[in-house]
Amino acid sequence: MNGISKRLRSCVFVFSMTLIAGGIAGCEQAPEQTSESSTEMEIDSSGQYVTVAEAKEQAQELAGGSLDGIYFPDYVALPEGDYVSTLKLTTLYTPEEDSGEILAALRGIWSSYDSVDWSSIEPTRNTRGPESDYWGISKEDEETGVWMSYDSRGFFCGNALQDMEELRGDACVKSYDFEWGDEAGEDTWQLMDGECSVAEAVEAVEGLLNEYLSPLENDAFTYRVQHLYVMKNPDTGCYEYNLSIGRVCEGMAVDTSSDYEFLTTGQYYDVVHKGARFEAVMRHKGTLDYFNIGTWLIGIESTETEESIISSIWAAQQIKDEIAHANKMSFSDFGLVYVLEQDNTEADNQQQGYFGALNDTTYLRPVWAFLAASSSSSLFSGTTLDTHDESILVDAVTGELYHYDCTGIY
Amino acid sequence: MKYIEKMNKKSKVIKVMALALAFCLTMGIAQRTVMASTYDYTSFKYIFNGGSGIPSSATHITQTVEVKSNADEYAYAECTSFSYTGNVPVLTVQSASTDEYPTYSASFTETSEGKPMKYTKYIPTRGTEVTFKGTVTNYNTYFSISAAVKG
Repeated sequence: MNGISKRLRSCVFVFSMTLIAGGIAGCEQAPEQTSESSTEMEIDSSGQYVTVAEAKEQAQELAGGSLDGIYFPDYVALPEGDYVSTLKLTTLYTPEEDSGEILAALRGIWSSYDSVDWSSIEPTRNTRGPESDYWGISKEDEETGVWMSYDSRGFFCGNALQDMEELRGDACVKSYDFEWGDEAGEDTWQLMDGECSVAEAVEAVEGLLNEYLSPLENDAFTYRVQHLYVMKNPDTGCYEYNLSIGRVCEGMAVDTSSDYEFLTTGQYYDVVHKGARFEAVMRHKGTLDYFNIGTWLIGIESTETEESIISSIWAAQQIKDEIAHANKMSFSDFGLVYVLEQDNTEADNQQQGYFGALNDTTYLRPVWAFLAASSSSSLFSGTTLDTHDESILVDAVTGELYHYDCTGIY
Repeated sequence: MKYIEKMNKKSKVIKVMALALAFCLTMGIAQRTVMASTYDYTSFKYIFNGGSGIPSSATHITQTVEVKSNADEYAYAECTSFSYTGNVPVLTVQSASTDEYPTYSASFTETSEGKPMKYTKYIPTRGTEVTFKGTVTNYNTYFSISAAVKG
């Protein structure tokens, strides 16, 4: 009890100091990066297809300016290399219930794994009948409430958060959107066991996932912390980091958004789109008290490499031609990223469905993403601020344009 | 003696579990035990609003929210605010993850605490992401509704 009191006093003291350093009025986000006062650019029109290198140069020309009334942010997310791919995806199936590889990954990533003798706990099993090989296992230490779960498709999750709930939006004091250009700088916050800079936290988490998760996905991906939220825990007075972590494939990021969707009925495409991410919470420096892969491990069945892609200028011109109010659009996030795509199973019902399990129609597709900032009054009612209003995806291979009202919340 | 007692108890538990599994498989529902809900409700991003006179750009008739499964037989939806003019609108909430985790729907014509939505095909393994969709119908003039979902 004395030890806990000492820690609380320590947290409160350093919290006060950090208040002076950091400022706490609401969830501080990076300053808006659109440049509505920018001079209209004069950019040569472009052919539909250009090399990836040229496409990247063109996108940099758009950054921070406007084109025919469409405003672009200062930062452009771009791949590292001079090629992109279209990837057909498949699940990585693990037939054995006691999957040593998955548990080893969970043990490496989640710091609380060894705090429980899991062998002494009876599992709860989820099965799907005799025709399915699917299995899911959950275990909970009834004394501490620490629990973990994993399944045959590589999903795994470990939770040692004693209050059992991720902190919600009104506890957020600062956010970082690394996916769209924010930098950690020197920012440092007092966690439960001491100060931990944002940069240190990012490095630690990426190191854990690149070491333990990447082999499970056949080293096809690396992992990057794309969004980080500094949360003040009202019970302890300390801070903790909520993290949204995305995959990077061949040097290009997979978007971390939730489902791309419409806000009214009656609109639909032949396909559905979604991002992908993992969620984690760091309460103790350098380690994760909560980690959740969310869905399943991803395997790559086939790859088609593209050295020529849709020009971002051509894509912007398509937006202007196809969308009536395009000359009043302002995008907060823009770049060339991967998104998940699969057939819309509700298309025959003339409805926009939602992303489901990986199937034979699931791809990672390179797209030019033009995303507007969210104006939602329910910001951060989930665990993230990673949500957008008007969202336009232009397939970087086919030029198909998808115009959505927003991305969902998670 | 303690080891033998433990083994006997374990045998009984296994037998009971086997019977329960057989029963559940017969019923077509995955075998599981009910766990206490561990996640709070997650609100839909926007207040559902719409109706004639409201600019179409501000119309929110259908939305989704992703929640983490509590490995319960039921997810829950609650309605935290409800106002309208004209026809009484109806908010319907249901799983949008229809290929694996369809649920019965929960409908609201007023504020309400959590209503259950039973998983009808598979119960998600604990912590799995499930997408829920809310849709408002039957309105004619105006509505403003807030709701949230727990997995």
